[in-house]
Amino acid sequence: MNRVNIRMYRMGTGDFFLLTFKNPDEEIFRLMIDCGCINASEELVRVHVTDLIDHLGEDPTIDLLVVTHEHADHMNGFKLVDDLFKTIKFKKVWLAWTESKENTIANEYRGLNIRAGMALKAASEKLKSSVNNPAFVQEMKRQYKGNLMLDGIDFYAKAVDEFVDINLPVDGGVIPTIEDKLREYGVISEDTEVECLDVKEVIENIAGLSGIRVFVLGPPEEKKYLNVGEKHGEMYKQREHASAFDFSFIDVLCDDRSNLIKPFKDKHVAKTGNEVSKIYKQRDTYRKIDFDWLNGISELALRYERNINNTSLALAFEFVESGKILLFPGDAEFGSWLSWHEKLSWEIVKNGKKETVSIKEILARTVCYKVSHHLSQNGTPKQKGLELLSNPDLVAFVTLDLDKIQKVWRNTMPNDFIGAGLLKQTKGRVFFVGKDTQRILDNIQTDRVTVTKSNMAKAKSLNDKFADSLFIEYDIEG
Amino acid sequence: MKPEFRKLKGYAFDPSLSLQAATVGINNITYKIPWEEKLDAGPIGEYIEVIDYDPTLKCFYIPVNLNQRDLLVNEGVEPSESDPKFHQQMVYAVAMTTIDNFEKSLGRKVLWATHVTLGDEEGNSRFQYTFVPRLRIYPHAFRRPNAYYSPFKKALLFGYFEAKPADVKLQMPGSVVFTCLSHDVITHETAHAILDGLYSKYTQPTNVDVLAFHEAFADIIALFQHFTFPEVLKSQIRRTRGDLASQNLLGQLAQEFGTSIGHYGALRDAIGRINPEKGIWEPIKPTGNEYSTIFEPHKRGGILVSAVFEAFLNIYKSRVADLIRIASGGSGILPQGEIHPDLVNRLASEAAKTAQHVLTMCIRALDYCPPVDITFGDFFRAIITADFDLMADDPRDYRVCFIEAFRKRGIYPKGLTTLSLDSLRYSTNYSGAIQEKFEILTEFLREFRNDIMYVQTREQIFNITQQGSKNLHERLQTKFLQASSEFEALTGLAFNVDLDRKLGVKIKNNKPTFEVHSLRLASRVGPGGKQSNQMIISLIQRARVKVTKIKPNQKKTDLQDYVVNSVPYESTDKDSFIVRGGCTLIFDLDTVQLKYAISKPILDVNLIKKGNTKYSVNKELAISTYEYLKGSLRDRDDHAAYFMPDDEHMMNEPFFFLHQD
Repeated sequence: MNRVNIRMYRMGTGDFFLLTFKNPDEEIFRLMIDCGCINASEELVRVHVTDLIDHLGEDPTIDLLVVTHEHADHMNGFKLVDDLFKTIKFKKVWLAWTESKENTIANEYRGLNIRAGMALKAASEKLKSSVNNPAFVQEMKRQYKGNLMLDGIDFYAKAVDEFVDINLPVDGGVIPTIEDKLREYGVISEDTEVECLDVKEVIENIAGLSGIRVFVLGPPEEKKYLNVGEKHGEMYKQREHASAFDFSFIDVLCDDRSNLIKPFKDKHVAKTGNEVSKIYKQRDTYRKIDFDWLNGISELALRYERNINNTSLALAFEFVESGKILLFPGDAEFGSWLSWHEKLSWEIVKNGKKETVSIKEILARTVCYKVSHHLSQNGTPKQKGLELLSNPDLVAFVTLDLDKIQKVWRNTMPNDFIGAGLLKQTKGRVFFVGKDTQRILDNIQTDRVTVTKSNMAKAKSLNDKFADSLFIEYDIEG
Repeated sequence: MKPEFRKLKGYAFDPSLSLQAATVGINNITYKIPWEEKLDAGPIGEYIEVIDYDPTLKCFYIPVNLNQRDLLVNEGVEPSESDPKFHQQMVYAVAMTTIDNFEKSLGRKVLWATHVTLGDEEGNSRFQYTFVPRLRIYPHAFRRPNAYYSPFKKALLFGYFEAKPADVKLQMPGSVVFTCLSHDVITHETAHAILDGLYSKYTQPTNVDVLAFHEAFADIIALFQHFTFPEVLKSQIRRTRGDLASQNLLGQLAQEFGTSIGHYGALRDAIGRINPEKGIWEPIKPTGNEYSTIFEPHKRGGILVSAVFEAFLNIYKSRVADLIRIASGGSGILPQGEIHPDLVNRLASEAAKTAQHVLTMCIRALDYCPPVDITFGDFFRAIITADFDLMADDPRDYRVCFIEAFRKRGIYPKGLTTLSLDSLRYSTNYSGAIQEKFEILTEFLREFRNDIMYVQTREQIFNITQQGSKNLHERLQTKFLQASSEFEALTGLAFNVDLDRKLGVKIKNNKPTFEVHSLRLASRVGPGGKQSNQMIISLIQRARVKVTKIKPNQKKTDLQDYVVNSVPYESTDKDSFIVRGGCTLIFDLDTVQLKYAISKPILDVNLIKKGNTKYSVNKELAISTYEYLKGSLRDRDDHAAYFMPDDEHMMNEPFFFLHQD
């Protein structure tokens, strides 16, 4: 294979890619990566997937499907138009090691995430019940700045909902894997080969994809990297691990009486109607704290999302001959990037000799970067990412659409520093899912960063060529 | 005869230290707090009401009644993690100790922030102000490793959580950790509440220092309160052989505990850290540019904490230099082995005195701060001025120690050309003409003093102050309406009606509005026995402005790169915002003369001084507020960015968000 056509579908914030590799004999290999978008409607997805099927031609076939992680903006398309996907033949599916049912760590991990998801849902329900409680609302409205309090709780609850919404629906506590879901939707059929890739693997000799070597970068094996989201200055900010103290909180949210940690023995509990309880219920009722304890949920919600982002299957596709690399990291956040630097190197055989490839080399040879996590602040690190993406041929794909995005994400996407850095390093060759390119560019150009006019204009004109198109297409010589 | 004190057992640090042989002896101490005659089960007293409700389980725990005979005899409930009654006692004892320290230093009673409700339905008044007699304390409010002060509820909320300790040797994994059992956490949160009672605007940041100051100040109080426990000091001095700086258990342990609780450690990271090679704790040497490079509120707060801590160590060293010389036969190097118990006692007493002095200096400085937009530099100047006021000479060079520690971290007050004692201290030279202007207040000041001087209850103080503020407001408005420009130059606030419309100040009944933010009487006694009676008045004025940056993409900017326009106060222009200016006026009650005017001008004072009749808004203040408000949400941590619609909402529970992670 010596060239590739990259097609990025433009449904909304979310990933949906088709990579068509070609060799000089015009033989092709079709690689699809993810299919989802925030707040997707069936109609929207149908238009785009129909286009894909038309493009695939007779007997539509995908040689390899990669689903990076379980978030809705990467895989809800499969469910919404499962009837269409059933008409496509998927020869092979690659998933992350965290999707393997045979891996105990992976199983435990999914279990924790499911419980966290249930807790988030319960917390948001409880919070919403407060702003729907007439007595509480009346009390707050009497207070100076009480309306801010009400708005704040309402917003907070909805923000938590948005974190819940992007995860796979959980039915009755059963823990589904992506594979389960894809089978359910009919994407994976009996003939489909499913593989969960181990990190650090180097995959060569893929049938029909000669001349391409794949490096598996993530998800990291060690738990400690999974919940690292971002970095401030030289120090990265490490969240606490998903630890027991989450669960003393989660248990009470899920109303799980069997596991419930009680801080004191029952003999210390006062009888109903004691003096202190009367004061609490009757005096200065604006000081009651019935809902405040739910505020801690935001921390959990973030960690939950981050953990799942860091389980993204992160892949680097190399044209063996030229060494050029296409980097598709899913939504990997800082922890995953960090593990590539601290834990990983890849062994290859070149001209009969063993060689080690480092992440620095991979990043330096990257000519196509699918920007991680929709250009948020935690998707691409500075020193460990952006600054190493130094190839003069670099082109970047950003799966961000400011018209179709979770409301709460707008504060962090696009990140101006990363956006400006990419515009500089690609000399303007940055493609966006969102059709309102100008809006995204305006949001990147803050007074904290410098973007040259020529790079700005270049990005605008490149994207404008696809103004009426369902997708953006770009050819890369291998 | 009613007792002077109530003695209550408690931890000096937190429960984990009682499990270590080296520290068990110093961790269990007896708190001596002022006796409260009326103390109900809760405990619920004059200042504090402990409501032990756990909303996660929807249950109340049986409240402790400290007036029970056996508890009176036994000095309260025995320290125990498993008995909620002890938890209630611990928060009560520590919070009361903190309050007592503030009352002694400030020379008046502590009042909590006022409860503000919206006016009645007939619209008789816009706001109603109600006295809050007690700070409410919830020892078991939620299940997170966090604790915070809620300005909205006038309450402290403490969390508990299952431990996943950094050091499994100190805490059993899976055991429950209670933030309400930590002296530091309780003191820190109580100090937030007291500070909010003095300056309610300090919870609404207008520059990078405001919230950092709140955090740092609360932490300084927590840190130095330790040093007032003699048992803790003696053991520590014995261990370190007098050298508190070399390995400081107080600083170090506060730090270690902080790591398991979360945010309390961050502030103190600036003090020192364990050297990974030597395995011992070492103080961090300042680089000199901390203040201009570190902006995250906790880290920035740490700069202030470490500056005060260093000043403390230097004062201590200078105070004990003679003792060390005597004990070492003049060499200054103590012989090997344990030091003499007498020397331990003497050193401990010097350290305690130093600590008490530093604590007092920091608390007193509060009265010398502007009511809005505080910076570390303002606080620095306040410390120097307050200390000067009580002790004209400085034989032990306390003030020099402070200057050195602040200078080393690059904390320079704005607008000063030199860092000398004279320039740092606020000016006291007000011309006869200005003093004359204030004569119209003389009568008011005298009356108010007489009204409030002998009042006993805090509610009476609150009511008299409310009435006094009204009277003062009226007087200022009528007397200063056609005010001299000198008064405006002095306060930096606008009182002249014709000019204000253009300033964006709200006009009511043809008069520019301003707020009498506080009115306080302070009767203090200095270390030399010098008594000082002062009246402290602070005023706040709001104006609406619009700021435009001329070169939006330029990173380095100065004042010339902005256009500042005043906008009518009622404007709904989304790009405009409210900027606050304010002034603290300090009067000597014995001479009834103005001593200090500490101002954050809302007016461009230089223009007035030049005799310009066209007034304009203080550009620098407007721009710094603009830059802060504009940049903030994007730069905040994830919680705020994802979970709050805007800054205004976040600031309703500022400490909840600050104390996350």
